[in-house]
Amino acid sequence: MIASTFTLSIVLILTLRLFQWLAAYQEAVVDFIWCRSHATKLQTLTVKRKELHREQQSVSAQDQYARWTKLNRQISQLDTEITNVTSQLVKQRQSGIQVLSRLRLLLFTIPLTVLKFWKGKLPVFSLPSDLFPHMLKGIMSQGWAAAALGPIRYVLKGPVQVTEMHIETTVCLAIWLWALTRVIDTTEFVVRNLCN
Amino acid sequence: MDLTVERNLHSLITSTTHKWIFVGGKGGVGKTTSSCSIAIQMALAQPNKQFLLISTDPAHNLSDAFGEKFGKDARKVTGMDNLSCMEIDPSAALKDMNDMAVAQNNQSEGLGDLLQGGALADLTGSIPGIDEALSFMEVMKHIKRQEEGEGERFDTVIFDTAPTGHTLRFLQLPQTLSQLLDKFGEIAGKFGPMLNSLAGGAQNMDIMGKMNELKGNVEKIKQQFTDPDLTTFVCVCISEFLSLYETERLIQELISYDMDVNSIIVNQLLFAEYDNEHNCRRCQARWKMQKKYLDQIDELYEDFHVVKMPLCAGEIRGLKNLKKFSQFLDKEYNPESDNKVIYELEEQN
Repeated sequence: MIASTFTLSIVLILTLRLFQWLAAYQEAVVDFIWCRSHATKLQTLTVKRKELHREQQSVSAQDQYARWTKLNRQISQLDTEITNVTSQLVKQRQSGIQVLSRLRLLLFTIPLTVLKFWKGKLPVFSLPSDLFPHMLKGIMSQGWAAAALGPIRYVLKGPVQVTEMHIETTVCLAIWLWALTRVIDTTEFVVRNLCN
Repeated sequence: MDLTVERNLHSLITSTTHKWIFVGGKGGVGKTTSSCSIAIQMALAQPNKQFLLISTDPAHNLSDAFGEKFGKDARKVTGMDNLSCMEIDPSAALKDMNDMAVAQNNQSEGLGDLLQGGALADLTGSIPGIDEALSFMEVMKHIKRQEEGEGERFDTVIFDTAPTGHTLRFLQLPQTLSQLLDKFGEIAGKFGPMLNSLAGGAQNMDIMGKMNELKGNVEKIKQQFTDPDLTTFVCVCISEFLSLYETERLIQELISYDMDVNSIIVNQLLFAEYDNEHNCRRCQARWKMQKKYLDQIDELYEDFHVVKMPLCAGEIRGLKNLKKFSQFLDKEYNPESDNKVIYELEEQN
């Protein structure tokens, strides 16, 4: 149970981080899934317009006015179609991005948040007890809430005489996930700076 | 079955359904002469009906064309019982009303009410078509006033439009206003009456209401103007490249407004090869150029009534000359048999 929760939370964090790194390619994914037909149509129309424009440039407007004007009419019509298809493409793309965002929210962000709240206090591993100050031990075993609730407990119960019974301090899932996220952030920062 | 379209305006001249006829084109192509000719022929063909020829061009020419003075009030043409003329500058009238509204800041009826102390005038610069819409509605009101004053209705109104600007651009206004009003509706829905109280005073700046009213009025006009039995647009041009290019643009613009346009008058044609009186090298060269474009026109506008009118020896002024000239709108000009008419048109004193 602990192992599966632990594994699941790591997978969720890493996947979300992967999505973040691949955000640059999000539009390409959206275009591929949602916008292919419109993009193809737009390309066809643009190519056709270029051909007509080239043909029109080769015709003298004064010597072949009728032919030039007919080409002009076709080009105007194509311009209208291109504008329509472009606006449809933009709408499709926005719709696709919205769907992807919602999927990400439903499949990864919400489950991770629920997990943090529901299983946040689940101990995932232990450390020797004398490594950290007493206050930190509380945070590590119970999460950040312990830091917020500490002063209230002190007011209500007064100073507590600590009797060390444990030789190990547990690290809860919430703190572990926080630590993992911080490590990934720091590593990313260092790599980016080195590359630049 | 002969599917060739007639090369005259006989069907329009004898039409009993048309109520609005617009005559338009760029400057110097013979627009006023054409609009006067159409009005005269219609009045002659249908003596029991009343016709009004109205010029909305700030540089009025109707008085010059007929050789008598016309003004803002409709007046019958001397020699015609059923044709009246009127010259109105709608933009000047609109400006006067706007200045009045700003000065008095009073709600007057109709257009003054619409102008809301000049507030709506601030919008006219930003929304395409509002200027033209307000101008046009001023014209329509003026016509209505004439009908009430004289006690007789005009069965058909012929508009001699201005060569500059987009007379009928306001036909796109309902669409523009719908989008604008949707946006306004969103804002008003969020802020509610706060907007009205911010405006202050007893006179509510109900811009949205006024814009809705304007949109409604324009939609009513548009219904009539997009009915091909009621309204048509006659394009006037000459047989030269730039004029034809402008005509093409005008026709495409009118089609985008769903306006019926199926007639083109090509003026100032030389027909040099049939002219026995005068046949110089220059005229031959020009006629050759005109013929080249005429063939192109025939090819481009094969389902239009393309009426070919001759270049006459003098200016076509006065009712007598206009009658002689306008007959070729009804029955097409034959350069071989009708040639002498060109030289018969006398100069009006």
